[in-house]
Amino acid sequence: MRCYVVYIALAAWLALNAHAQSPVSADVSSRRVTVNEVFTIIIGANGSDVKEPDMSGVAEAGIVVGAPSHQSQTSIRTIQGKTTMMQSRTWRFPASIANEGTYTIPRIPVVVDGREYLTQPMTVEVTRTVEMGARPPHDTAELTIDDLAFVRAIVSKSNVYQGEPILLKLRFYTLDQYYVNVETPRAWPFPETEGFYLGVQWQQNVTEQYAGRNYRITEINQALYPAMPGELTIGAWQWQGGVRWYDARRRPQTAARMFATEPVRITVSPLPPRPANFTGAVGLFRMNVQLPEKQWTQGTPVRLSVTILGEGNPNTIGAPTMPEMPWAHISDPEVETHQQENSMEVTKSFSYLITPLDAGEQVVPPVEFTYFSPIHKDYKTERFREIPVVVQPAADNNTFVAIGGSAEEQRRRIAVFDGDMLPIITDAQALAVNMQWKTARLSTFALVSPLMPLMLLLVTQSLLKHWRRLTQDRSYKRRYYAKTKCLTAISEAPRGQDPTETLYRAINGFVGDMLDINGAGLTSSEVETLLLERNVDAEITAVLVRVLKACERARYAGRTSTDEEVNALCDTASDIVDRLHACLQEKRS
Amino acid sequence: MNMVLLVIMLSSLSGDGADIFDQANEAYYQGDNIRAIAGYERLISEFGVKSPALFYNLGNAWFKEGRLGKAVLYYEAALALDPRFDAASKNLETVLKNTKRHLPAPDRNELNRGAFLHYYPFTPMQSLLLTHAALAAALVLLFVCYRRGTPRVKWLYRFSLVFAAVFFALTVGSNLAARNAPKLAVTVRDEAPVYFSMNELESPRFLLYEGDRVLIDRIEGDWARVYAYGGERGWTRKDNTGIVEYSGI
Repeated sequence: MRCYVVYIALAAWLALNAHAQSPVSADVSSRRVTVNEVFTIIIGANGSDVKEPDMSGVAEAGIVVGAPSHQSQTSIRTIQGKTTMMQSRTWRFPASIANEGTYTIPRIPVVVDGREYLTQPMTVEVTRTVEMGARPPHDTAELTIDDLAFVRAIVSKSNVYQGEPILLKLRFYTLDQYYVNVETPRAWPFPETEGFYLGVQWQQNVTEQYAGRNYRITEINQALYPAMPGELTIGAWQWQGGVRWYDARRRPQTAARMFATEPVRITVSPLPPRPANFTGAVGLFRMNVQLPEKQWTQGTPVRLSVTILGEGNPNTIGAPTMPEMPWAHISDPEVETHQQENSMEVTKSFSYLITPLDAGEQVVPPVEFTYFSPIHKDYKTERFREIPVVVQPAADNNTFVAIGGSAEEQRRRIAVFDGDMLPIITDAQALAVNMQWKTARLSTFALVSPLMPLMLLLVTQSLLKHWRRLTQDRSYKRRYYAKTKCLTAISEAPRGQDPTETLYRAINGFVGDMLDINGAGLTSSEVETLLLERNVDAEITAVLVRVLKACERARYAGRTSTDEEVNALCDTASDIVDRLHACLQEKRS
Repeated sequence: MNMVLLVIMLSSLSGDGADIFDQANEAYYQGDNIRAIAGYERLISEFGVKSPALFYNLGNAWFKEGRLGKAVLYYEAALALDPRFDAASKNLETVLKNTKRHLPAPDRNELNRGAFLHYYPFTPMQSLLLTHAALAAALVLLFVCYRRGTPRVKWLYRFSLVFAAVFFALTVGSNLAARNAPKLAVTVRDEAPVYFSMNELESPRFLLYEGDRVLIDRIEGDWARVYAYGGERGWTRKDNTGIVEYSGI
């Protein structure tokens, strides 16, 4: 009996305890974090009807809380014939704290089954210092994890007029030392920019010094145009990333970080009362007007191009005011916008077709463009001077009004047509514009065209090689000029005072040049020996020796040879020099 | 040479050609589109006229005749010869609005034209010019070598020759690739079935309608492989389409 009382008391205590236990629980992933390090607040709740936890108190405590991930499990229980649905929900809130110190996460209210439960308060210690890799001796400053990677938002101006361009620079700094690496989101989030028109955006990477350290910077540039006057705010640029670095022992470390910039306030002033011809352009602009020709023809259109260049919202640059021109028809403008790369500079072109209807001396009145200049805090009007033109009467007095407007003659002859379709071209001259299909293919001639410069190159190379050898190789030079020199001497020999002597010297010189020896003083027998040593054909050697001997005989005979003898000797010598030259060249090759 | 041909053509056109053109125009304004088309086509076949204006007029005549496909074909031909021909662009736009699906023209870059042409940044003509430039540089360097034969200059000379050889090979390669580049074509029948293979017995993959523009990247006998806007591909009878580049031939 006593034993039963103990069991009943224990069961009652357990039941009471179970009833008293809160269905809500809370925990944090880490009790000790560094500044801006991401940790997780985990909140769990069980019940039939579980509402979202109210995190407003956490934010008021100076803790930045992100969007949670959420898990839910539902089970159905039947107890004593009564069916109840049980939910088990868990929220994981990413959180970070921007300043060091000890923070208490306050009690977080969660409504379960219509009753509010509070979680237990939790303390988190926030430290600033992070153990870093080895530092250079001169770098004595203590590094924190915030020095490894951080973000900044910079605006070009914070007091602007409505529509005035602002350049927002979102800069992400990564320390260019200690193997710091940051895992960033695949697509960068963009801050809230309600109240602004978004303009051109570009991104660039730079390396820069900041606070005495080198940083790799990813810079997102965004042009913004405030759409309304008042106090506007560019929201915080906030995203989560993982920082990796090496500690003093060269062990890899990682930390999840919340990167966030402060919101930027922009004061936008309204524009002063607008003049009549203001189209909305705010910024700094200049205007160019181009008119290709001043001699016009009646009925032939001429293109007038007005280009607006400058910094400002391209969508608000309206067409310049075109003056009244009763003597001409002005078409609606063709508009072309060109945004410069990596710049807020924009070019907007308005192209008008002016078709002169009356001949004579006419004037294109000044073209005006009005915009608001924030620097001058007033409206400015760019004005292009009037342009005098001479309109020639149409040659064939036709009634065509051209609308094509291009430079080609054929397009000037299209009549205005009321329907959707433009009519046919009736001017047979237009057929003279015979064109070829634009194709990337090359003709066979073009394909083989590199052969010509290649051949020129080869010929030049061989000529240059030859000339170089002539200047550098003496024996080559002697051989090269030997035949010409010898034949010239032979041909001039009959006209000389002592033809046989000249002939003798010319042949000896030739042999000397060809064999690269001193030819002076060679006798016929020495020549014979030299040639036979070089395997020169015996017949050629014999003939040459006979010529030399004849010269020797004439030299020692003491009488002058007759002209016939000299001519015969010269002819034979020319012939044999030719043959000997060929023979020696052949032997060399 | 081109001037001579032009003079010959002008002189011939000033006679019979101009008369045919005027008669065709007159027929067009009288509503006799068939006679107008015959006249314009005679100018192409007999006189070899390949003028944007003529193709433009043919486009108008075919449109008036109710043949949207042919009209699109000839406007595209006019624009292929002169891309700045505003009147042809405008009329083409009007005709395309009247086609069944008014599909945009397929993008040539979406079609896999072979890795070579896809990634190689220069046209054959640019490659050829680079070859010539390299040969010219080699010639200059050859003279410099002769004057001052430093090893650096000699290496530059050799490098120029290698550069010229590489670019000549690339010229030949890109020219070959350009020869096989896809051609713009226009569906000229009311409906043109496109099959998975060259077999009319199988059920068509999709249908092309008159005026739809496609790219043709392969022709086998009577069949052409087409690539339509959106990435659809398949085989269709060659005579279902007209190739812009062969217009009037």
